[in-house]
Order: sequence, then structure tokens, then C-alpha cells
Amino acid sequence: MLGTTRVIIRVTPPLLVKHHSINHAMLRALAILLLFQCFGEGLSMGLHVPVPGPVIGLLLLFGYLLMRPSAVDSIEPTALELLRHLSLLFVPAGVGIMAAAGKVRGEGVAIAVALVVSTTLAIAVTALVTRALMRRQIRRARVNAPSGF
Amino acid sequence: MTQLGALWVYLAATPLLGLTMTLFAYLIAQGIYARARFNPLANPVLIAVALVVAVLSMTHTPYQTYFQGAQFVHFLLGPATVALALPLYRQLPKLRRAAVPLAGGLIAGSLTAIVSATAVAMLFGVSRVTVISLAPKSATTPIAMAIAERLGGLPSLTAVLVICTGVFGAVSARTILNVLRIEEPEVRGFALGVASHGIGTARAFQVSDEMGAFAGLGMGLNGLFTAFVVPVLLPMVLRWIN
Repeated sequence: MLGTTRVIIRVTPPLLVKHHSINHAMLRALAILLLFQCFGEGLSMGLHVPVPGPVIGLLLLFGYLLMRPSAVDSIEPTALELLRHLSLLFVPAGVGIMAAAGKVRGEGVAIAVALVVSTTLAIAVTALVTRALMRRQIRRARVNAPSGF
Repeated sequence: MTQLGALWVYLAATPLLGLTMTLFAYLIAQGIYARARFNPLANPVLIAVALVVAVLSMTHTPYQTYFQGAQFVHFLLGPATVALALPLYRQLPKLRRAAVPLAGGLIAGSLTAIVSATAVAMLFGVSRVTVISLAPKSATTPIAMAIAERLGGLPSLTAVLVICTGVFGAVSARTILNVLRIEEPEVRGFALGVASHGIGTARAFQVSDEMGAFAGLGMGLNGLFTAFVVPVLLPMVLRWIN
């Protein structure tokens, strides 16, 4: 009993400090993400680009990370935590199908066929084109390698 | 009973209930997904949506009332989309190694997904709103929803279509790729990520880490590509039809 108490006393202070700094980092990372979303929304609206603001924010942040790779470590834990529960964020909109269902009544079969055909083709075309280009790249590398010597 | 009814009316009018319901429905759905050993058919989003829709229709709660609470979760989609920059940054070395084949596969596959989905839907004569909502369906959900919203589609229809696309791709990719005799794990993963985003990526990670990494790269690149191509391509296709 006494031993347990001693352990708790010894462990608690550093844990507290660490916990505090993690929270701080999380807030800062969240602020940075929101800031880049603001930049993105601003550019999207201001320049009348039809690309969604958050996507422009993604690209701006990506560019920023390329310029300052040291920023990755401070944003990454929060970003990954947010992305870990990404599918939760789709639920409110998904429930909206309740209200939207009336507008697409009678189009169910068309939508299902379009979805199945298009997804099958997309998998097939992506795979075939990527593989063909990879093989070409390998062949070229083989042809070019000896001439370099 | 009337007291209980009054209590429900009070709670249903506050944002608190919509938010609580969303989180619990998602936790229950995650539990079912785990029980089903992460089978893509037991998709947690579809289950959570079904649970919430069931409760709302049984209690005659309108969607707007629910959304007042759920919007706090919905709002996080924006920063989460921006956060996709980090996994993309981490996957950059993989892109550099095979830039030309991956870029070629991405452009071909993404255009195929967009054009074939809209073409088939229009052959059936669906409404303009449905075509817009369907066009970005192979992109990752937050990006696809933002595209649909920006172009005048129904983001909630897009959300459901994107997830159905992901589930179908995750379930059928093995058969499609085997028929085509595609053996390279990086090509299999990349195709799965481009065509069926995060759900395909989750499926690829179940096979191997290498396949999953390339699927993640395909998902990220196609999200970006679709966001730039659909706003340009779709008005052209719609005009051509009219």
C-alpha cells in the first residue's frame, strides 16, 4: 500500500508536465489546420476557383511542409488523431440521406449500375495503365543502364 | 409516459441530443465492424447512419433538428481535409520512385471513374443534381462532399455514394485484379486507393503494409486530382448533354 503510494507520487509530476505540453501542441496544431483552411476558403472564394477551400488548404499546408519539414513533427500527432476518426465525421451528412432520399426516388437502379460499372472500370484502368507504365520504366532502365558505363 | 414524451421533446430540441446520438451510433457501429472482423460489408458509417435514421424516424425528429447538434462533428470535416496533407507528405518518397507510372495510372483511372459514372447515370436519364452528386464518388469522402456542395449537388447523397463505392471496391477488387492477372502489390494497392479511397485503403492494409501504403497514396492523389478535374469537366459534360 505504502509502496504504491510512493510510486504514484514519483510518477505523477513528469506525467502532468508531459500531458500539459501534449495538450498545448494539440491546440497549436488544430489552430494551424484551421488557419490553412481559412487561407484555402479565402483563396477559393476570392479568386472564384471552383476547387473546395479545404482542398486548397490541404495543398497550401503540403507546400508549407515541403518548405519547412521541421513543422511536420508538431502537426502530425494531432492531424493523425483527427484522421483516425475520419469516418465519424461522415455520419451527420450521411444521415442527411433521410432528407435527400425524396429527391432521388426512382433513380436507385441507375445510381447502383453507374456505381458498379464505374468502380469496376476505375480499378481495372488504374491497374492496367500503372502496370504498363511501370514495365516500360523497368525496360528503359535496363536498356539505358549499360550505356552509362 | 406523457412526462417521458415531454422530456424527449425538450432534449430533442437541444443540440446535445444530436451530438450524443451521433457518437453512440458510431461507437456501436465500430463494435459491430470489429465483431465482423473488419469486413468491408459491415461498414461502420453505413451502420451508424442507419441507426441514427432509425431513431429519428421512430421519434419523428426532423433532420434539421438532429443536425443542429451533429453539426459540431460535421464542422471537423474541413480541418480533417487539410490534415490529409500529412499522410500525403509522408508518402511522397514512394511517389518519387515511380512518378510517371503512378501519375499515368492516376489520370487514366480517375478520369475513367468520373466519366463512366456520369455517362452511365445520364444514359438512365437521372436528374442533374444526381449526376453532380455522383461525379466525385471515387474521391475520399470529405473532398467529394466539398466538391458536390460547391457545384450544386447534394453532399449527403455524395457521402452515401462515396461510401458505397468504397465498400463495392473493397469487396470486388480482388476478383477484378485477379481476372486481369495484376500481381504487383503496389499496383493492386494503388488501383484500390484511386477507385475506392479510404475504405479500399483499409482493405489493402489488411492484405499487406506495402499494398496499404500505395492505396493511401492513390487515395490522396485522386482526392486532389478529382477536386481540380470535376469542377472543370462536369460543366462541359452537362452542357454537352443539354
